[in-house]
Amino acid sequence: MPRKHRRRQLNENALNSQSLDELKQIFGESTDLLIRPFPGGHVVYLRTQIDQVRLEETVLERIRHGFQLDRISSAYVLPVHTFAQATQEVLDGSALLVVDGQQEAYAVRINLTEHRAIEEPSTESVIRGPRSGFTEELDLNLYLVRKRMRTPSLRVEEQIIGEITRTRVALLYEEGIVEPNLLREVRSRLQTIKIDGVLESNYIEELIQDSPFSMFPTIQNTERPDVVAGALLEGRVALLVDGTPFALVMPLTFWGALQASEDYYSHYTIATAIRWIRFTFLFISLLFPSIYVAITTFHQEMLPTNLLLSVAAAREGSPFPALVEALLMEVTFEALREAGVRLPKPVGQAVSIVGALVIGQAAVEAGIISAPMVIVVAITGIASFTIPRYNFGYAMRLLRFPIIILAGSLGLFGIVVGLMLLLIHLCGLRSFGIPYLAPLAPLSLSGLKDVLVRVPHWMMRSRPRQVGKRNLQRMPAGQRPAPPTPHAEGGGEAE
Amino acid sequence: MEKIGSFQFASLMVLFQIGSYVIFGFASSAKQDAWLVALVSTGSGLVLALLYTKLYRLHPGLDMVGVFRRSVGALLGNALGLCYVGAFVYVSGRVLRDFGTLINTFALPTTPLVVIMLLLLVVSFVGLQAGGEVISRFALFAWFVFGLFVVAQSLLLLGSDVLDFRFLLPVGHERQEILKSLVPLGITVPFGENIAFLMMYHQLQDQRDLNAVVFGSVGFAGLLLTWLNVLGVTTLGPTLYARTVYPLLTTLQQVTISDLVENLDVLVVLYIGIAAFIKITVFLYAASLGTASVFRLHDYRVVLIPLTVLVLMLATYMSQSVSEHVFIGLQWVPWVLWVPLFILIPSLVYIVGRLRGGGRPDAEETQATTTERERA
Repeated sequence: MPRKHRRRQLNENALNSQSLDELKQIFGESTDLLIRPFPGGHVVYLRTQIDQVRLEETVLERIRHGFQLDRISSAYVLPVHTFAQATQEVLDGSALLVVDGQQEAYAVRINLTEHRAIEEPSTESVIRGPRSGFTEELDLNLYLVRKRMRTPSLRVEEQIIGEITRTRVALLYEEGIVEPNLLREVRSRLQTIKIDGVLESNYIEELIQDSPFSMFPTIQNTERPDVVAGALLEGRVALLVDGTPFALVMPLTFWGALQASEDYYSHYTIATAIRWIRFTFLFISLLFPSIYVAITTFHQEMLPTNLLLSVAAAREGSPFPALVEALLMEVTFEALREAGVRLPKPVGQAVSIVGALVIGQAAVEAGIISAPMVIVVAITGIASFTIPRYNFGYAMRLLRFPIIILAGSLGLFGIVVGLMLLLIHLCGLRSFGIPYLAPLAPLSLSGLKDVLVRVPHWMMRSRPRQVGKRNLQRMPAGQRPAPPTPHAEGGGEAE
Repeated sequence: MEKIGSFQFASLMVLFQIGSYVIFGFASSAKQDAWLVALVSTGSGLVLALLYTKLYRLHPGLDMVGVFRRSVGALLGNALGLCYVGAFVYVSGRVLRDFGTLINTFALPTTPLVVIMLLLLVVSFVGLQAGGEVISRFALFAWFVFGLFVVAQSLLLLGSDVLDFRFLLPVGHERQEILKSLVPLGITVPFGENIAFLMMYHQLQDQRDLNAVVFGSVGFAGLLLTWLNVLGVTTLGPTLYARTVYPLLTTLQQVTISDLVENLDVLVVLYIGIAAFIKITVFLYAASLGTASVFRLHDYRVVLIPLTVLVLMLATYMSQSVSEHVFIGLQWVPWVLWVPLFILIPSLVYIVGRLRGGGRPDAEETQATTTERERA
């Protein structure tokens, strides 16, 4: 787009035929740019961006007998003065009315509102809980959030990021809860972004996260409006990006990455138990193959004799050392998983059959891979699916490999070294100023009520201290349900 | 300057003090009275902790070298500071060697010693590069793991039906032996080693918690040592307990639960790895902070690489064999290094500093300005 046109006034000296030519030039004679005369002026629009029926009904029909602003029945009519404004409006789906002899043009927004239906998000499905997920349309997503938080203190700040894609990015926060420092930090990080295009929220995520080299996500992404609303209620900040159903929520802690939205929709005892299962399986998904390799290679005496005998018998036929076997199988499993995502749906079944039969049974029967290894890999694979945040699971999947190598070369000591390095890394991570392992390290006792357990809602009286310390109280005390006992009730009625 | 929260500081101190036990045990030569020695030395440890905090309160807000400089003059203070730096590096190397030898003996007999030591030192280096705050958070996290292990160890030993509390009798039967293990080793290690934390007292975020953190962690560590000693003696019996080089390991080897859980000694690697790591790292941290303070460097990380290499060299060339290593550690080092450095010099410095007017009430008020002057 030639820059010199940007600042120029439209209709300079009311020479409108010339400004129409310039508009045409800005769009480089694109075939979908239409300029159609009406009595007393011209209407300029992109055929592909507007709703033709609405153009006819709300604009053309009304100005058939000459332009009159108050006859146009559209909620969005904006006077436009510069070429930059005019082009942007046309791109956004407005019909631009250039009226002869007037200094300003009028943009009437009649854009196409095609979007897919609100569906259940496939990455974060729940058994109990709302089924609606974000779509690719920013306005629809904002509607989904606003519908859940019907308060004027929900603030939406919109900005445009991307020189070419000019993507709309909306910053959401709850005024009165959000920590001003956090908000300032997010805003200033967003302002520093200079990029040609934003096609997905990950572009933004990678440009504003705290530790660009860390594998662990310090910004949460979610497809669920209820997760966004929950985060805003805790005093966190959300970013919705036009064109993707994945919203960003920040800051994110290690423990936050292990919480699922359903934790809050199911009974707290179950939620707590399931959280612990997740913690356990997090370790299994990270360490199980390495522990197997370490024990079978270096510390066979740790196994009970009977188990040792059966493992040794199973491993007898395998030509590879346990380390090689583990790496082979893990890589194969990851490949199967990747293939399952990429393959066209009808072929998917073929892959699972090939995976189950060839990798599982045939490889063992042929004596290439030992049977215990298949079990180990299968359990590890299942364990990695218990992590609720998909991108957090990536880190675990990837870190498994260096730890397997450490275990294969140095046994349990290697695993310990790997774990210590990992823990040091995690201790040093921050997400928008908040330590990643908070509230466990550094310790904040009141924060543990939503980390190690999920206390009932009537006990969750305060917000997490790290993000919500400005307005800590979530609900007043004494909310524990205490219905009158039948006996006392009966007594009351008798009186 | 980095600030460390109270919980983190306390867990760092507790792990640090337990660290020595985990490898070589504590006062095991006192046989069934080892727990008694542990209790008594906890008492002396509290006295030492009092001395160190008093020393710190002479000039609060300063690190150890700063306190020395202000108490006995810049030249002598710096010289003393360098002595301590040297000692910390040496002890760091000793612990590294202890650890390396143990792993080499029990877990990885064919791996070269230097590889094992190098790996652990790399972890230390990475941690210190990330900073004291990160190390202290690590300690807090590690403490949960460690606590879990102590509980699990106790339960497993109870469940294995190997404990015999009659081994503890008669109480205090060899006074000579008790005294021998108490002086000088029992009173200097691990509680005298706490002097390394004098380099970090000023990093405690909430200075009002200092007493609670220091005395609480010394007391807690002492009780834990007492319990571990009781557990060890009742499992192994007094003679074997006194004779084994690695009491904790030998104790854990006795765990047998219905042929399913046995030979847990390798799991001790985790235990020991954490403890040794904390110990090495704290000493290395104290040494680099001290060097930075003596030479007025802004960031201790500048001297981290040379000091780390020095620790590795020391650990490698320190001694020819395990016996030599243990002999030097038990017979020479306590008298030559620990008694003067942990008891005599701090006491002298405290007396001199007191006479020269440190620790007055107004000293605390001018804390901020003195810190700045020291830095300038």
